[in-house]
Amino acid sequence: MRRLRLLADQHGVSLIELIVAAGIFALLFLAIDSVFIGAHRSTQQAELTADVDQNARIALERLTREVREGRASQIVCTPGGCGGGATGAVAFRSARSGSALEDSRIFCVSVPGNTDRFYNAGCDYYGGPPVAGVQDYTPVWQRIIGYRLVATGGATACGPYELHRYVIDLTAPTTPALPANPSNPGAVGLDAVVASCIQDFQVSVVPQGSRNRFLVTLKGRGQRAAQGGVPPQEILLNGEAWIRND
Amino acid sequence: MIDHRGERGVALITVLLAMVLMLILISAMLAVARNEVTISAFHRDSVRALELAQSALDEGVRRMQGGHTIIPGFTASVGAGTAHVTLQGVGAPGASSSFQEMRAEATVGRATRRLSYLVFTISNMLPPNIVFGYSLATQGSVDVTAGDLYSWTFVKYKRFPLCSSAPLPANCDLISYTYAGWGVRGINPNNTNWCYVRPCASSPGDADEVDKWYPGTRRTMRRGQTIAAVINTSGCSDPALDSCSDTRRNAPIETLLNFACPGGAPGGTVGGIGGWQASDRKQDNSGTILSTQPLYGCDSDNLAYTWVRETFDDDSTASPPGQKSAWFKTVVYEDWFDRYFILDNNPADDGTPTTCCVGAYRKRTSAEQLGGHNLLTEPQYGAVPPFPDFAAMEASLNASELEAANRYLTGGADLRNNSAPGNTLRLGCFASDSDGNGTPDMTCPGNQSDYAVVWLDNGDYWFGGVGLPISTTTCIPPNPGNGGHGTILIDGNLRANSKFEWFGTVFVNGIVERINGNVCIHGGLITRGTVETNGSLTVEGGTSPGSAPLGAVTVVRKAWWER
Repeated sequence: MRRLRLLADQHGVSLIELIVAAGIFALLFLAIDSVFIGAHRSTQQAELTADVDQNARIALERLTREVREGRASQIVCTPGGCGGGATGAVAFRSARSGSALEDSRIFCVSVPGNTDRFYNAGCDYYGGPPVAGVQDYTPVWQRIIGYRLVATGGATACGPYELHRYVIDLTAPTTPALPANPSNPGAVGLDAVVASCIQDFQVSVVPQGSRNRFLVTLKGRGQRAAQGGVPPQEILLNGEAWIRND
Repeated sequence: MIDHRGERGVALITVLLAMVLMLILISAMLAVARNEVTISAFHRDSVRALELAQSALDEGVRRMQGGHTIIPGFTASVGAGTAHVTLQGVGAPGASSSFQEMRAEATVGRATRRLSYLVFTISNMLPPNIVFGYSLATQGSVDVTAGDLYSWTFVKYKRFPLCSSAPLPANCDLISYTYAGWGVRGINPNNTNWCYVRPCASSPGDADEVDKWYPGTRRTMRRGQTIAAVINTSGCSDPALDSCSDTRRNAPIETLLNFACPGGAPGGTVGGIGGWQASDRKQDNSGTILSTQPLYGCDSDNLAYTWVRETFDDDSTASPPGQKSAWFKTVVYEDWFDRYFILDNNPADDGTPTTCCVGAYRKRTSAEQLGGHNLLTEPQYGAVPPFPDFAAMEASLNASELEAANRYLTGGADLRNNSAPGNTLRLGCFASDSDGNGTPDMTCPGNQSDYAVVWLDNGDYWFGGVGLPISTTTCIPPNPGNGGHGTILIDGNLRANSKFEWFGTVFVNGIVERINGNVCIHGGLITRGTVETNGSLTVEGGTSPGSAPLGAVTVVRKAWWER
């Protein structure tokens, strides 16, 4: 009897109660889900921004570091020279040892003979040891380095270009000549992508007194295939370097 | 009937799952944020370190320009970082110029950046590749095989500058001249009469030799020097030897030459100032100088000059020697040097020199001449430079550092014996094959040249005898003797009675005397006092081993890179 009484006290869950409970639960779930989705989207966005930023920054660092060791007279730019311009390209001579040695730690300078402490056989001196006599310890160019944009073709939300870095080994201090059009240098020895999803690349050389300043702007735009509503991320980086060997 | 009393629902699991999800998301966000902070911080530190290293190098350049030593280095600190700069000589292409590598290692936070400068330092305190002395008196042989010879008063030597010995030294201008403030003569075997002014028609002897003499040449003084200072820095080095005393100097004018030519010369006569005597002679010994002689004027190459009176010892070997008083035409050294010399510093973009002597001063050619004259075709426009500022050169050195490196002595020393300090002094070594005979000039450890700045302070220093391996050049046969490479600064007297050979420039703030052996200097010899020799003194000015410029210098950056 007692058991029957207990059951008699139970009235069950009405449909309305069930619907209200489900509604409340749904609202609660949606609220929580939006928080989670928001957090997830923020994370995705942060990661994407970081990726785009890193992608462009590494290329920018490498370019400014290499140009810094050059000489203003040994830099060519397009379009319209080194006065700047959209979708540019740049090529310059470098005194880092050529790819034959594969040791870019060596910076080659003109030395008086092979007993000089700066003499390095890796700086091939184009066929033999340096000419005896007075040398002036100025850079001895070993290769041409260029940066140019290459269109990726596909119309995606990603930037339409890749930034390529190419290397041309010299066979003599001034041979071959710097390419007239760094964006189309002809045959190159090494060509590698240093940054993808690039929208714009501008370079210029600004004389200031007896010195020259190299300015570069790199605009990257990135979007992942499965973004889940994360908008494309853009980054605009400006870099500059005083050209030290003027 | 279902008993629900033991059921607790899914609340705990739901909460746990939610917390795990939240934890993952927050961790990811934190990781990204932390990564960004790290990247930004490292980038900031690396930029700061790079700028700090760069500024430390610039500080080093300024120290060199100011004449302060940076050997062996210094530490700079800006904000949170420090940078250490070290300097290492690389080579010297000629007199008073050198290439040096300056390294800076800067650390800021976790970032370290290493930069190198290759700088070319130049001193314009004296013409390149020369022999300079207050006077030159020889009973032996003095050969100047290249470069010019300048004497403040007179020159008396056996052989004139040849500049034709084989092989020719790899210097810039192969035309050598002898300039003396007063007179020149040759002695046995090419005896000539005293020559006081060009042409030396009355002097017998080798015509080519006489043709290279320029006695009675004007003198120079550095801008900012007083007349008294320039005279007092020119001789008077060994009172015991030449009876020199301050009273035999007469510095009547304390005037800087600052008027413009042509015209513009201020008035005044030599008789209008103190010191003039009726028996005083002109610089060219052509007669006495009149008291009405204008004190200032413009020379034929439009350099401003003034007349300066000096009393000096003559060439006699009597003790004390006789004295002469004469008036010397004196111009400003910097004006003369800039007019007739040029720094050949125009390399091609590929780094190869466009001429023979990039990185060194040389005489201007007719194509480079200023004011319509050059010394190659008109050597009569030469002038005798003043002795360089020895105190400034000493001030640019650090005695304790050099002493620790066995490159400093004081109080005088006999370096002829194979014992300390002669066998411990590090004089440098020259391993190049400058004469092209296929053999290194000196036998050096590791076949590497060791470039040295050696400072011998306050005393007399004897050279010769057993020491470093001597060179195999034709200057001195390969025999034991003292030898070295670099710049040697002697605040005292240099004496030698055996073999001594130096690759670089020798500065002597005293006299060079008692040379009974062979002394060979492949570079410059700059002596405040008299150069006397009974033996053989050979100077090959302008050969490839040069000397480090001391004192304040002009610094030209040649190359820059990151290590």
